Amino acid sequence: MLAAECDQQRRMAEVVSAGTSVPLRLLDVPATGREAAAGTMRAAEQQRLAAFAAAVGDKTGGESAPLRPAVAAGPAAVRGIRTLLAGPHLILEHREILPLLCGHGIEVVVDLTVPGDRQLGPDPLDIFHRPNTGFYAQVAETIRNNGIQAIVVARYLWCDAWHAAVARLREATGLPLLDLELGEEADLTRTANRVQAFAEMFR
Amino acid sequence: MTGKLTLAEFDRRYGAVAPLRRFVEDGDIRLRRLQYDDSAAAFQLWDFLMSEEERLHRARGRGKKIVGVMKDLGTVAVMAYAFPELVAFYPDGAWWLPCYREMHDGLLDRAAAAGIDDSFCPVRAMLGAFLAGDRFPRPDLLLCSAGAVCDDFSTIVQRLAECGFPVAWWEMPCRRTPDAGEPCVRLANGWPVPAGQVDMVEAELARVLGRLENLAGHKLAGRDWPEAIRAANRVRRLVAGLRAEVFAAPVCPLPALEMMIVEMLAIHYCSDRDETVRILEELTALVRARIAAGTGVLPADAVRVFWVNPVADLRMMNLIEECGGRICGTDYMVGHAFTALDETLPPLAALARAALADPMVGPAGQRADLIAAEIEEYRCAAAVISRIPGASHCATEGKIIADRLRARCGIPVLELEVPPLTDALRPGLVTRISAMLELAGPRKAR
Repeated sequence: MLAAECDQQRRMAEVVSAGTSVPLRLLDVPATGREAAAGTMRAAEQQRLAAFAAAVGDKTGGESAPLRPAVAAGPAAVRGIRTLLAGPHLILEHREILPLLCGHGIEVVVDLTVPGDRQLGPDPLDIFHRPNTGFYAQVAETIRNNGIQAIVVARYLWCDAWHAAVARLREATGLPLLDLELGEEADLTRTANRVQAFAEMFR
Repeated sequence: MTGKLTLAEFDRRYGAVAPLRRFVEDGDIRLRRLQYDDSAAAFQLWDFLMSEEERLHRARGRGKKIVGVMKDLGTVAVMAYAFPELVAFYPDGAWWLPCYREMHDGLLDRAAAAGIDDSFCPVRAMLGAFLAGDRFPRPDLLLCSAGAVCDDFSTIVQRLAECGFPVAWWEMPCRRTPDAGEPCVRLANGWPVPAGQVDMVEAELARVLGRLENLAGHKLAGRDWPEAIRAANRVRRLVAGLRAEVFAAPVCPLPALEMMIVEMLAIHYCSDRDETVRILEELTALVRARIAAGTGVLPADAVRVFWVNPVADLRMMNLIEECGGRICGTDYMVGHAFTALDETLPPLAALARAALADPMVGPAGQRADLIAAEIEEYRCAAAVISRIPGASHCATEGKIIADRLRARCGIPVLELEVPPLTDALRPGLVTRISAMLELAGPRKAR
């Protein structure tokens, strides 16, 4: 199941479907969320999703299996630089960023990455909306309500939406911001150096 | 064989009154490095292309409202030109400004300062141009499609809005194949799409029409619609006709560079629909005369090449010909702009179908099938997939298209990246293109 919110998801659906017999559905998600046509589109896509899920469910006899190991619980909360972590869904290896930040005294108070504690803040998927001013309004409110002192953006090379958000977040919040561009590698050594340098700014 | 001209020769022969050199003096220095078709029609084409900004400023001076239409490449412009009070243009075209000025314009630096750095597509020059404010007039209305569009473009336009240029967005769904039993519509190019998607785009275009009517200050009269569609089709048929005649001709009658500009005219008529028609008619007459005389601009044994994606550096179109190639098929992402609109349908329904035929809003594999059909039609012996640096769709589409073309057509496929200025890469590009053409050569001879 892929959500067509960006070029990468749309194209990857093609790549993945060519290499697997597993049923695959590309869910189209409207970008102009508040318009009537977008509402119609969303409803139609939800119906298609339901039909797809029912079809797949029939084949699995109602059983579901985890697609990936459960994410390990993060380290015990520490009091440190109160930080908002923002970015797209992170692959399992890159969830190691959380203990890495913690180890340098950076306390992730709000985690907008996926899967993160989205109930504390805006829906990170709203960044794909056009316009996405609502997303930044919610971020501003979240920052105010949680006494946020810094922002860390962890994003992938081809994720343009989050890349462009870096400038906007800096501009709109005036907070120190660390922009971490992640590649395919699991090794976070270079990232660790940057995190350390960022944390030192607060001493 | 008709040779190509340098800028000085081009001006001397055809530009006694208004030489193209005036654009060089204004900063568009890349023109000095291009090779031009030796004809008055080509000279008019170039003069028309390069003078668009002047035309937009004159239109503003005459009291016309300027509409900046973005991303859909060909659909909303048809609607805007239905209103005599409006002139539409695609600011997207600003992506060629760094090339024209050989990177001396500072537009990319301006974009980077606004947070859109060189990891984004060169279309970020558009943001720089808006911020600089000295290229085209500030539009009275900006319209942009969102959804199944290039991420770079969408994020750049979002940034543009954040920088104080309000944008009205409209939704473009991700074109898909209909599910079993789902009502469907067949587009002009044969692609089946769900009827629901056509209805949805039509509803969005109705919303866009409302914006245009507000700007024009009146509703569009019923009689204006058929004329707008007919006029658009006049341009579309001329462009499609030129492509068909040039690509099928035994000897290439018009160079790739001029042909690329011809295709771009279909998008928004370079801000003057009547002049576009006149120039296209002149070029058609030129091409027919050359074909009838059995002459052309390249050797008869030039290798027939299909080219995928537009190039940020115009010089590449000269280069492929210098290496021994000849462009006989293209997908510059604007194929839907020169496919005739269905005049039997209500106008918005016809435009919705045209918008959904945009090769970029659906699967890359579907796009590859259309490319393969044209490769077969024009007997192309090789294909070049030209990547756009930083463009998000280029991260994955190239492999999808290349694999499909190799499997279906069995021709050499070369993927290369073309930045706004290729001079430093020229030796490598020549080697790679020459190797591809050499591989394709035996096939060409069959």
